[in-house]
Amino acid sequence: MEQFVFWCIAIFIVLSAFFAMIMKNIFHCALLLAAALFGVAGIFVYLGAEFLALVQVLIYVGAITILIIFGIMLTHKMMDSKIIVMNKQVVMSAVITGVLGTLIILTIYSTAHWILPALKNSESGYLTHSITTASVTKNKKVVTDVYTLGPALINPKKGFAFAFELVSILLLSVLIGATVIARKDQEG
Amino acid sequence: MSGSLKLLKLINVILEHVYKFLGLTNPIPEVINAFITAAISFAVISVFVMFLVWMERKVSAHMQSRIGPNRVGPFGLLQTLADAIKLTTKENMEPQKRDKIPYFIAPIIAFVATFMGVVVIPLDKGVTIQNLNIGVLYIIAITSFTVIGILTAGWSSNNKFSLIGGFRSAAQIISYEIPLVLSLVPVIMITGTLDLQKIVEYQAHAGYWFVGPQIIGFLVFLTASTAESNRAPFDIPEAESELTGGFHTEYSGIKFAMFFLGEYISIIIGSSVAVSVFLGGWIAPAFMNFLPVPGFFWFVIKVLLVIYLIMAFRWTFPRLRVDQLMDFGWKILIPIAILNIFLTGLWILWFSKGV
Repeated sequence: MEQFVFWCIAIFIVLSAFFAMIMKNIFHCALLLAAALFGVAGIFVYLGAEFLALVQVLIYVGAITILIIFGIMLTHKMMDSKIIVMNKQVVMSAVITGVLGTLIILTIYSTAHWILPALKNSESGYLTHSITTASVTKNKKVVTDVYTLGPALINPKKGFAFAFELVSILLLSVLIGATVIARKDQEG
Repeated sequence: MSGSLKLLKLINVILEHVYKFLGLTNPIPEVINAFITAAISFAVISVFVMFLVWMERKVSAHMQSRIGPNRVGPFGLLQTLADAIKLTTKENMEPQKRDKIPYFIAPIIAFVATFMGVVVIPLDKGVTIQNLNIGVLYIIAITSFTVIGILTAGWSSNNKFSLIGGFRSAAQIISYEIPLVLSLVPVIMITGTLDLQKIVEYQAHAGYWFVGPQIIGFLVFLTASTAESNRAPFDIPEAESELTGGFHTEYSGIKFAMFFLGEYISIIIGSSVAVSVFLGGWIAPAFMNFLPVPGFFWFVIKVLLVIYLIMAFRWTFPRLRVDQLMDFGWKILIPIAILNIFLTGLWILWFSKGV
């Protein structure tokens, strides 16, 4: 059952991401992108990280996709179905995706220590067996609720308080910069 | 004590008997249980929405010195039922140059997104459909989907009015989501939890409702949630005099009914959150503690009161212009909400000597 759910979500993500790439109508692409991001949130729920899932929905689906859709709708002739969505750089893109893909797979295998014992234990040896919530909690206590995440993020000694503040300053300056640019446009 | 708890158990017991009768295994599979719970809550909510539509028409009639619906059923109570039957059996008109698939799924997205918020509302002590320890965040995240439904509806209808309505709605919902979230932050800071059930329990222990110390937050929340559900005075997405029907101009029959239902459900969710967070949820008012009434009763009474307030807004305030709306959201509500967070932080520091 758990595997079935995993495969359903995974196929949903892959299909919607694939069609987001090949669709001619850019608005449909944006909608499918939202679907794919929502599917990723589903994977987070499946792994027992509800907080991360909700943040994913709130930020990626609720804000970023809508910004993209806004951008598409407000850009001149962007909704025209005649604009070029595809280009012909097959070799280049194959090389880049290949390298990135290998890098990601290598990283997963070298960092996720909890996968390997579960792989040995499970009879069928499927990777998905180890990705179920049950095995995560069995092998290593991974607590992902707000009460652990919050202090871990901004604890002055162990956490990432400095990085956190740095990011907030960056975002603030981006916000002010965007406003300044928009205002100039209005006056000129 | 709580009758609604018994009710839920009763439903469960009946389900188990049905299962045994069908020769299926006990206990009930979780998936089927979830489906049945969803169906029951959908039915209850739909009936409640019908009542609300009737109430809205009565309230508006009262405000305009009219009588309102009074022909179908006692006090016109069955008028909405008749309207609902009319809507669902109506011919489904669709524009020929619509974008077929998005046009079809838009009302579904808008409706499902709002309906999903019902799940975490605390109905009584320990009674929620599914309690999440991040309930507040869940409601905010899930309801932000509505924007996608509305934008899709506006775009796929292939109609200028719909598109402008969709734009306005998205801009409005995104802008007002910020004060909505910020107004809830002080309560989360005080209680230290995102669980709606625990926020209500905190108020029960503390002996006061947050509407007292957090009156600013309550007002900001009420305003922002009225705007979130696209209601007057913030109804520029469907301003009849400018945009005929806004994003749902091209929708008819059952699809229009879904948008309509979604709007009312979002009112219900907004006021339920307001009641749970600021008005003590299922807690009985102090002077009526002796009454042997389940907490669910008080919850519904409070929700109805808040909804009445939102309805009164609609019939007393004129509609805002787009620029006024944006100014009000960004230049008044957000600064107030941030100031409120700051003051609450000081208050917590002062009283707990540094947490």
